[in-house]
Amino acid sequence: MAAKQNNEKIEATDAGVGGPKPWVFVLMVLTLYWAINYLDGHGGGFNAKVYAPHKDATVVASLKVQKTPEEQALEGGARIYRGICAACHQPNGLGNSNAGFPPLVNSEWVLNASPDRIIAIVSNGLQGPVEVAGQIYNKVAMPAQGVALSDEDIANVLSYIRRNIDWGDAHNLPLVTPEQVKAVRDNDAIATRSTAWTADELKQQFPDSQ
Amino acid sequence: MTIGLSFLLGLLAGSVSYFMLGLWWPLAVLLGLFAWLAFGLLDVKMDSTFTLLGGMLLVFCVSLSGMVLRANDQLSGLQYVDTQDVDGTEFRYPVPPLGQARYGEKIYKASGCVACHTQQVTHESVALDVKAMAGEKNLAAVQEAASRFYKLTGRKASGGAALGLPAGEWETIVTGANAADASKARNFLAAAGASVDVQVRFRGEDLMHNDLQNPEGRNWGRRRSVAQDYLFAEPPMLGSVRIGPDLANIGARYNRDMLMSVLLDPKTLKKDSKMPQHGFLFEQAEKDEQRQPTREAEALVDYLLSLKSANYPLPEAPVDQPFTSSMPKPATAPAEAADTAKPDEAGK
Amino acid sequence: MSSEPKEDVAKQDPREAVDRSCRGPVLFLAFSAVTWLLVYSVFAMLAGVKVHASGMMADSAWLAYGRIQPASQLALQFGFLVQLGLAVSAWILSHRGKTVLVDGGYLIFGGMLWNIGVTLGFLGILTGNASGLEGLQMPGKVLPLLFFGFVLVGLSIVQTNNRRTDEEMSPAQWFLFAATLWLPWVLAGSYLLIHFFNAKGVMANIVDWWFIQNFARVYLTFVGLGTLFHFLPALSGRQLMGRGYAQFAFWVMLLFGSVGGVGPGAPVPAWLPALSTVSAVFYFFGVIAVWVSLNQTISGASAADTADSLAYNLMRLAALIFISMGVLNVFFAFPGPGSVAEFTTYGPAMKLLFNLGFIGLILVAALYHIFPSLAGIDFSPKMTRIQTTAIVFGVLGATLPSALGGLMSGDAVLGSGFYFASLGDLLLLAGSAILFLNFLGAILFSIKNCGCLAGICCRGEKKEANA
Repeated sequence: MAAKQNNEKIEATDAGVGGPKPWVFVLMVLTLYWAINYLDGHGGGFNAKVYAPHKDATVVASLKVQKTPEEQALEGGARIYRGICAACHQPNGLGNSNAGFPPLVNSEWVLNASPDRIIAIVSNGLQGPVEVAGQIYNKVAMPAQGVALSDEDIANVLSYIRRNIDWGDAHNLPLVTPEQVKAVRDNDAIATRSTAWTADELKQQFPDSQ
Repeated sequence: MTIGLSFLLGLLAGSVSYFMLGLWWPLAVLLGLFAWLAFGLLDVKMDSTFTLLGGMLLVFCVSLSGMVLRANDQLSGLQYVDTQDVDGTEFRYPVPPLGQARYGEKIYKASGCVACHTQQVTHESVALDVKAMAGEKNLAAVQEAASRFYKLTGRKASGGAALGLPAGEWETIVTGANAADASKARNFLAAAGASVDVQVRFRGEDLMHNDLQNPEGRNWGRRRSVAQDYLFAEPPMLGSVRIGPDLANIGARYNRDMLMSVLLDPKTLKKDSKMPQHGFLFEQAEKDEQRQPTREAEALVDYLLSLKSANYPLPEAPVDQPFTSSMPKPATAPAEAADTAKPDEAGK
Repeated sequence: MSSEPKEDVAKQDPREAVDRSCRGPVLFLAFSAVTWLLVYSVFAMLAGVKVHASGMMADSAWLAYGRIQPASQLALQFGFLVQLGLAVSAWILSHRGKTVLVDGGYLIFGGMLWNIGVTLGFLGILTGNASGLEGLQMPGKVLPLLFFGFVLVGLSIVQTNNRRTDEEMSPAQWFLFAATLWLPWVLAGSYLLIHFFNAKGVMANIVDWWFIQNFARVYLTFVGLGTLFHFLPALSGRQLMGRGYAQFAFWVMLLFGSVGGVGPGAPVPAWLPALSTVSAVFYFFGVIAVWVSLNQTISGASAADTADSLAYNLMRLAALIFISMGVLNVFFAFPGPGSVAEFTTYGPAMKLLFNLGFIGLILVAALYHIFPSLAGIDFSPKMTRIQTTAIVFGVLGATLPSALGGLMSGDAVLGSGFYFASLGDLLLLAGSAILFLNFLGAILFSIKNCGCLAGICCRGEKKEANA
């Protein structure tokens, strides 16, 4: 024990002051350059939503083909249709003739060349009786949707019902644009109207489209 | 000696400006070099506790803010998101543990299941598939673009692409490509006027088994785990060792009876299981009677059945995305594909 | 900065005065540490046996594998490593600074609080109150207790360092001083973020990983390196070469050891694993610098010339383990190899090798060396030889096969039995039991025979007698 103590030299200062040579720091700078590149490639741009530890994930985002305006419009329309319209007109668009809900599929009101009339119906509602696809619906009382929906929403949902290939070949009309909707809704007759349309009034207001 | 410390301080300044302030990286490097010089002139000595303490405090703040607080900024705001079930039903995700599951989570924690089971599905790589559809008009241009892609990457055409890409049909151009190849294929084909779609597939041992595309899959999840999955976990018991299987998606794989039998005697389900029996979760009223699960066992199984995290698609972690038709706008064709401009015009 | 020399101190050999001031506190901490090592090895053994015989003790919730495994880790890290590290730090800083240990009473009181905290945490895990987080398994409520215990011990150590005779600090002093300050910061930070601010979702895990990283790569590594930087030159009778390398290593390891620790597959945004890889690469610069400095210092010195060849050889082995682990760590920090090793038994095996093979061996070697001057009696040489052999082979036996097994079995650990090759655990148990008996026996013997330890229990009386 005593031997241990005597042998041990606790030096007050450390003589060797040698430190890393300058090239070590050059190497560290190079490593820093590598690190920045590595983080660029694997760090996902410090984005909270990128999880893949490979460069691929960021590339993937740029690779995904942008959705066309048409697809966006139809998808938006489908969402609105499911949320609002499908309750009466059913998801398949066939309506429910027993309960007095007319179909949209192959309906002459929907598939009119000009969308003005159907824009007016969605905006202000419709009061029966009305003839759809050869059948007369007396109890129709469609509420006005114009307050809750923007021009774009109405355009999208109308595009969806007029251009839904699944509903039949006739449903292949061009997209309804928000401008078209705005034009109809800005019309005094519609903007000031507080009651629902009747079929006759519609035919009168938008005669050219029959 | 001082060159070392000042270098580190310069490195620190550079890193702080890059990672925390988000500076453009060449600027950050310059700033770091400048700081290196500046600190070097100051000639910092290591002899006083004050120097040590100051440097340590600085490092501590960088470490805490650069790793923990920055992550907190990104992750503490997580909210419900919309996702859909396997059958297409939309719902808000994640679902908080319902019924006894919260109590079961406590049992899971208390029993230390995390010592052997992870709850994180990982992925190892991303593979990309590219499909294309050519019209009658641009068929020739698209065919040429595809063959140019095959020549460039050395990949072999297969399926419909090998037969010369019939017009009006979605045909797979390349499967399992890396990002660079998929990007080339997409650019070539889009420039030739074809409709192109890219599908992202996560690959890895943890994910769903697929003979061709993921032959090593163990069916532990349909996608990798992400932070969103653990919004309601208290705390997320991610685990670090897999003596047993991953449990992130156990609720989608096992039913109540199977889980109960595993808890009582793991060897009934898997002969060479290393899992200890959990007799303390079962009680026996009389000697000959069969052992009945206690309330704890029921709760634990409730919790396990609620673990279905790696099952539903999220924006940051998609489940294999189906191909959707999409027409790229000509304007989006990247500039680097400029040499493909001619077939594009020819197609029109 | 030197302390006021007291009357009785001046008359004696200053080193003896320093030893006397260290005696009670250091031996108290060291003895608690050795006790916790025994507890660890018993429970690690039990955990291994549980896996071989899955039906054994199945009806006891207390002894479920998932409880005894984390409890044993707590005993190893917080019971054994931290306490022995504090004991050795206190000894080195007072000897190096040529000053008596200031406020040894704080050290004892803080050590008691720490022991109570670890005991409560240990029992808490066994009774099912674990936190579920890997690095801080003990129930959150005991963390403040641990914090205050450590701060009291740290107060004494930091004050001792501040009263050092030489203004200039040596590398050993930087490392030990920094380590003593760092743990309470990290402990308090983790406690506040996880339990006080209730970190949400994976944030709790990120804080936990941050704690694990800081605890292992900064706190424990600095304690180990500080001890090496003191003893390797002191034992071989040489001067420490390459002080600049040590300084470089100090800042590099502090900066990059405090960030990272997130595995490649973790369910967190990709930048966290990427940052961990980068910081592991930079950390390696520090590892190399330490190696260069130590290598220059001891090159050419043979064990026979050293003051204490057993301690010297153990420390050299630990240094070898340190550099090997440094190389392995930087290799497995990359996502490719990392995802092969992730979730396998490689991880826990390397953790054990780090805890016992690197830090543990260094601290035990330091204990061998400082014990005689404190207790006035050496360990029994025969028992020391047996226990050292058992511990060294136990550590290697418990870690290397399972590390290899983990890598070979790949991600699927389901069939790997290597981890539970309990031969290593058994040797460790034997070694730590003998160490415990050796320690206990030496202390009892010394109290009984030579009265050298009178200072521990009846210091007051002795002072009166001196007066």
